[in-house]
Amino acid sequence: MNIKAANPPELLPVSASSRMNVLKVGFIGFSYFLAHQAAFLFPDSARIIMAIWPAGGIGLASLLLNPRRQWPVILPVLFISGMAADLWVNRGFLLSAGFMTANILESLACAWLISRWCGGGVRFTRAKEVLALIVAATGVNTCTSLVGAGTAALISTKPFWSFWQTWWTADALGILLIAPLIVTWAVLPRSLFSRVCWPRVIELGISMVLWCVVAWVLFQSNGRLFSLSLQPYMLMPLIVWFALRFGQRSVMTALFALTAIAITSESMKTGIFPWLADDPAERLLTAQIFFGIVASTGMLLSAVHTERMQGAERLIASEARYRRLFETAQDGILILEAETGLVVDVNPFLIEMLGFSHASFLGKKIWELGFFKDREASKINFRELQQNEYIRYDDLPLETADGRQIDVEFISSGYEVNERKVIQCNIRNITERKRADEIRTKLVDAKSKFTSTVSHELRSPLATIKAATDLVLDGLAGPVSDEQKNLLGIAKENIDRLGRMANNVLTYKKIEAGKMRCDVQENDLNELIREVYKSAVLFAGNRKADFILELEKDLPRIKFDKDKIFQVLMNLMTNAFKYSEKGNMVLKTRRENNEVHVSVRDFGPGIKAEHLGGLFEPFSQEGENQKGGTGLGLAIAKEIVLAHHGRIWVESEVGKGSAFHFILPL
Amino acid sequence: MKKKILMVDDEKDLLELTLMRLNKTGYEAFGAVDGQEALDLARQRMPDLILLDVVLPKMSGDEVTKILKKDENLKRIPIILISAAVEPLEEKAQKSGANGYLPKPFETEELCDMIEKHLAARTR
Repeated sequence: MNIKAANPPELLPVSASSRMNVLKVGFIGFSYFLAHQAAFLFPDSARIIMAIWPAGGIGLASLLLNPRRQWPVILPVLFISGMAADLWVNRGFLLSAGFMTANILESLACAWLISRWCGGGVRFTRAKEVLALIVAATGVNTCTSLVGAGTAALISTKPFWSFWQTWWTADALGILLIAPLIVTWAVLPRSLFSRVCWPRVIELGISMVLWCVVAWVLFQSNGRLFSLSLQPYMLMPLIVWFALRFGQRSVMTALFALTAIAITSESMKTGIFPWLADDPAERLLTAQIFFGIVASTGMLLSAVHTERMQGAERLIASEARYRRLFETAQDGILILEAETGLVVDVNPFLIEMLGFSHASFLGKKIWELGFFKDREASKINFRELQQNEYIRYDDLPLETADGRQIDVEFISSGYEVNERKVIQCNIRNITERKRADEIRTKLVDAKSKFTSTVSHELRSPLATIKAATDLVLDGLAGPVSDEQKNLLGIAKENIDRLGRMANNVLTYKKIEAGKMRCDVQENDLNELIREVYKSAVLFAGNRKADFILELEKDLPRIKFDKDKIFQVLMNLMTNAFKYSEKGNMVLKTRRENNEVHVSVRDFGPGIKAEHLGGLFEPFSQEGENQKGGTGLGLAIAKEIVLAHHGRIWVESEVGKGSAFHFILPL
Repeated sequence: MKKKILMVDDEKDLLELTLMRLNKTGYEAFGAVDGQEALDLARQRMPDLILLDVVLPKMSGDEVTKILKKDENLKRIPIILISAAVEPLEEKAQKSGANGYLPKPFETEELCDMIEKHLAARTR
């Protein structure tokens, strides 16, 4: 149960409502007042023989349970409550003030020490916290009780040393017994109420009853049960029971019960454990030491046990988490002992992947497993792995139990567990992936071959048709009328169109395959443009509009691939011819800083804004202005310009025409 | 005397048409349809220029070129490689030692210009 209480939020948080805070502080003050009063009840406060000073524990607990910034409010409240209780029993004002100063100092010093050492959120579930408490109760208390005893010696006539001794023991017990009792009960885990485990409740009940009976018998004036004389150490196995089975809260409760039984018992009047000493004061001291030791032992034991349990529980949670990862991984995982190569563990996925049973893996060395084709090689590879701690095969063939070959990606790395080296192998089946890759490669190859063949087979007859047409057109096959010439001209135009298309498809295939190479040489761009113009005009046939070339004189020679830029210019110019119905088109070259800017402007129908974005994508031919072609021209132009580290773009306005621009760096 | 031109192409239609044009233009043109025939004709008739298709049965155009260029008597004949194939023609021409190249489909003008250019270069 206490394990669950390991890190709950503070029960008394800094509430948003100040009313809660006022109530809380009021409650603390009232408790402190009552504890003060209660202390005078036993056993003989008049002679200042006091067994326990519970107010000391309440003061410390109220500080530990609240954040430090609330201490300046809590401390004065404690002081006032204590003063009120003292004055109530007619103690002198000065004496009360001196005593309270000592008490406040004690609470503050102890709380400061504990929180300084252990941080906030102290719940006494850690051995360190319990140790801090013991140090505070014995060490810090030594100093602050000097203040109390000094006050008493100065103001009243009490003997200093015996007063100091009484103060020290009573406060030490108050701190040891009461502070952790309050702190452990102040924060309750929800599971305490929601999940009642009856066997445990019954067990706790039995042990508590047994504890109380033993304690009660122990503090009877003769301390005898029938003829059996009970000894105080009989409580020890019981406190161990609480500590190991039920945690700190039950330990504190048991100790509280013990203290309550002891203090209210008859023997308290005459001194506890009458058989131990003659003097009542001495007897009381013995009892106090006994309480202190029982409390310290029980608390420490419980804290150490709790810590261990928490560690184990964290380990279990971690194991469950990572075990699940291992069990459900969609990769094979093999864990080996680095020293020997023995298989330590294997996950279900690998078992399924390879078809060997779990048992056939365990206790074998990695090279003895049937799935490595070359046993000697795998032995050598393992040696290499032992030295390098990392080995990776991107494609390793393995053989499954039923003789199939699978291809895997094999990655091993070494790490240390409890000072022993372990090697983890991650094995991913890539057979399917490889097959898919092969199919894809085949498809790509087939497509590429198909494109080549088609364009070759397309271009051969084109050459023949062209030769025949040219023969007739040139009059070499007899006289040709004007009308025949005109018609053959149209035929020729379309032959060229087909040829260009075949070329574009081929170029695009190369671009797609990443095989386009630019043969960059220093060339005259203007000259190339004139050349392109000649061809484009030939292609354009009976055109309605013409190009005006505005070429900048003294354009520097720049480096480019003549054939490729020819294709770009050709595609842009034939496009312009295709779409221009009226007005002359303009082709400009201009030097701009370190670049050459080429623009091809037409006064055709223009392109709608929504179609501009995809214009340079292959097969885009969007909108209603389709004029035939492969739809690759602009995509090719873009790729070629980009390959020259240039830029290409378009400006267009519906009804006014379009302008295609590209820039080549000098 | 008319200049002799050997054209080699397995596309018989194209071969016939081109030969017809060349003959009408004033050359003495004759054709072959495969590599072996081309070699035989070249040795037999000593053409002034050879137009050679790359994709040919029996022996490819660039192989024919290599053989011709090794022959002491024939190596001075200019050879122009022609092809509709996708492979880089320029590279093939360079490797085999051909004097020029022309991708199919070609312009008649282009072909004529190239023939004239190489013949002129040889006469010089």
